[in-house]
Amino acid sequence: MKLEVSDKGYFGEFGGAYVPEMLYPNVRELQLQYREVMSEPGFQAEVEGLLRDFAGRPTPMFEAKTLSRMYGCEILLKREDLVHTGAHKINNTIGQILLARRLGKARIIAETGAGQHGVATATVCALMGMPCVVYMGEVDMKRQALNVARMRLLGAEVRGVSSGSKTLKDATNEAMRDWIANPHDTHYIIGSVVGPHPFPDMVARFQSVISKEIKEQCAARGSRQPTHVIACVGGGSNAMGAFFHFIEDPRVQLVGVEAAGCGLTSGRSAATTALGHPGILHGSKTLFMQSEDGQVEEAHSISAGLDYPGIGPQHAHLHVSGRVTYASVTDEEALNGAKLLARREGIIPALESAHAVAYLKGAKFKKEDRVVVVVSGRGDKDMATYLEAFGEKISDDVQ
Amino acid sequence: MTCSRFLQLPEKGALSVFFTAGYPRLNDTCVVLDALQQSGVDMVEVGFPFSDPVADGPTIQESNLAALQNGMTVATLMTQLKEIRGQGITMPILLMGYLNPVERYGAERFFREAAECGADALILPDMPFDGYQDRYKALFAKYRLNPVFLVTSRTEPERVRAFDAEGPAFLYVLSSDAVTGGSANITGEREAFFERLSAMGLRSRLIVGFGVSDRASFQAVTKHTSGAIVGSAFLRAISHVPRGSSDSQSDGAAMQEAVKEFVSKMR
Repeated sequence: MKLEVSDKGYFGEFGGAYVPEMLYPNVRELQLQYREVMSEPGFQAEVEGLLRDFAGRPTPMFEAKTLSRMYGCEILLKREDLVHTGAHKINNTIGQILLARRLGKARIIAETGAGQHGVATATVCALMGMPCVVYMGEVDMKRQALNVARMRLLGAEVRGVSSGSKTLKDATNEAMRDWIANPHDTHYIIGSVVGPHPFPDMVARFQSVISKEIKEQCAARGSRQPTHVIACVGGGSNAMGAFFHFIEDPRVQLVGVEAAGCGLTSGRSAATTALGHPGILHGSKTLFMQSEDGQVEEAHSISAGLDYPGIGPQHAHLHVSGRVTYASVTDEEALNGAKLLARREGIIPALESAHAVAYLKGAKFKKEDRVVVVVSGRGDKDMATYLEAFGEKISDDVQ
Repeated sequence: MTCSRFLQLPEKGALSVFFTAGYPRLNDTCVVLDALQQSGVDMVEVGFPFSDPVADGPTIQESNLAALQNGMTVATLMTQLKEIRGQGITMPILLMGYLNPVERYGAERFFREAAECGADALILPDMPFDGYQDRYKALFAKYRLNPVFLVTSRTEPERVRAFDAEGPAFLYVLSSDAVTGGSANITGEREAFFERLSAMGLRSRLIVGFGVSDRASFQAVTKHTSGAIVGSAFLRAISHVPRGSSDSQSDGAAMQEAVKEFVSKMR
């Protein structure tokens, strides 16, 4: 299948731009300009230059030999944890800040959950000398204190959000309210493939560098393209980036791994494709967890970056059309996945990425399969959670 | 076709009040409506709550969450409103809310029941205009509800004319670039915007909202328009009305008094 956005911003039945009139001119300006700006050779060269020299791309593709033996196939890790700031988020913020500058914007706002997108935004704002305000739920500020300190050191103002569940969904609401109040000079760098058109398409394109590199790196390893690409899904930006160039190739199985939290039936989960319904949230029609009365439900995951009740509209479409398989992994399985990668491969992953790793355990692979797992970020930010979860057993071997 | 109840509105100085259904107590919707009618308000906007109201400031957000915690649902709202027209409420009633609860309830069912309850118009701030044309326009027409469109100082004149051509109940003119509950800072620039709109010769009335909180701001924004809507300031004024005979309803006499006092300070 093809994943082309329609003129009105839809992927199948999902997407669109459901914004109040106050945001219409901002969103319209972006809709009219993003494709044109992104296709200018000068703009592309600038993005590529920063991705290479500032962010450190391309990121390596690493053959995980122990995991390959364990699971009986070839497992390759796409090392987004090694990019500057420690997660894939910077691929998008570099692109968007250059776009914002072309559009003459002078101020940047962002929302953040785990803090990785906030750090990536604060980083590019420091680089460009632009003022930066990051909205973050108060619950997330507590569990990701290190990233709050990083953003502040980079010169960003971190505004705590105390409404609703005090997590990513509420931080997104607050960033939208800021944009409504500051429509002239401000660009809102959304951190995932969510929000009104053109954000899902634009963010996917900026993140598509991940699958571009996977293709090139697979070609360099004996020209065999992957049989599987596996990535975690919160809003879904690293997964969209990793799937992007493979969507039209039916030979590649694509797997998005969502956070089951305490379990699908526990009432404390973030597995949108299993538990969500179609609706309108944060400017687009997509799938999200909601009550019978259409109220958005609070998500739960041990990983702050997956703790979002919805997914981007492309994922909703890819799920409904069956092109991508969505699975889910519990908090406990993710913790085991993190430990496995740390003990067997010497890589401490972010809790988000640990979900993709943990998926391998229950999956069936053939010997000739080439499985790419995206390690979307590194685990430094999650050390407090790992310490709390493992306690004295932190040095014990994997179960 | 504009509903006849809107034709009763005064040409100038129409006072409209917004409140959240089910706030401060679940069964206050009709208590507040009754008090507003007694106080001589010209029109009322009844908000049905949503967990994530992005166009609203802290006061309305809190009233939304409180109403949801009180157990407010779309079905409950329809039940509460069912009897109102029989009970002597003659003001135009607008329902206001976000699209998701409407869609989850079933858009057609929502429009049908809203019309049956005697609602005159519907404001859906996150309904895009192209979405209106593609999908909702037919429902507005079928159930004889009037749409309302928001207009900001950045809405292009052609777009304003396109809204006007749809025969809305009125154009909801925003007094500021902000979410609800801020202050309407009526600068020369803002006044020029109201004048510019009023000079366009539109057939729709202009009613100003967002940031209208007292007599001074009401008078300032209605100089060049037909009226104004006050919301957050009203919610604050009724938030402390004591409970009545049960926890789910405020004291009717105290509500009457609070509403009367608030309205007397507006004009």
